[in-house]
Amino acid sequence: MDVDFIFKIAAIGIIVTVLHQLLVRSGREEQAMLTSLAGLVVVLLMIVNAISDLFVTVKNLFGL
Amino acid sequence: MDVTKVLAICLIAAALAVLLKQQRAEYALLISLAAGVIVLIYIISGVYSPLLSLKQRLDETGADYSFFTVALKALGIGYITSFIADSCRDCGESSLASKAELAGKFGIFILSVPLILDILETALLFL
Repeated sequence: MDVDFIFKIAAIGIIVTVLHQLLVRSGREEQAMLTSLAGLVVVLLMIVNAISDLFVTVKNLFGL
Repeated sequence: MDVTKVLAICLIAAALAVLLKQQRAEYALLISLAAGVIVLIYIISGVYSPLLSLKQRLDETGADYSFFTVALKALGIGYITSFIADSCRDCGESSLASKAELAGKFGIFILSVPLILDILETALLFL
């Protein structure tokens, strides 16, 4: 849970962008849309876990 | 609580967000959200020990410090609300951001109502 978490997300973003361009250029728009959607879902799941950790720590600290 | 570490993380995340903003705008938001989460968790872990020692000291005095717990809860709500509202404003959703801030304000107000009642009662005693 540190800088490498940010680098992981940035790496997924770059890979998805490249894949999207690749698939669009080769005429497969649907697959391109699906891959970018899949990348988005993966990153969202990672971030949701991180945000739930944040909310748990805030609840414990501030006694909410 | 190493401030330089927080600044470095924010700078790196900002650079990566700008990099990804042209092709994929949603990843810029996700990177800024992830950086925000990391920085907030780091800050909270820094605040934890001084706050606990403060609480123990208040326990020792034996005074009723309900005001302190209410202030702490208000601080927590404000902390989270500003984080979420700024993230919403980041991706252009200013109406959502104002809704989040409104919810935070009401949450804090509801927290402070018992305190207000206490103050009123003590004030009425003097009249």
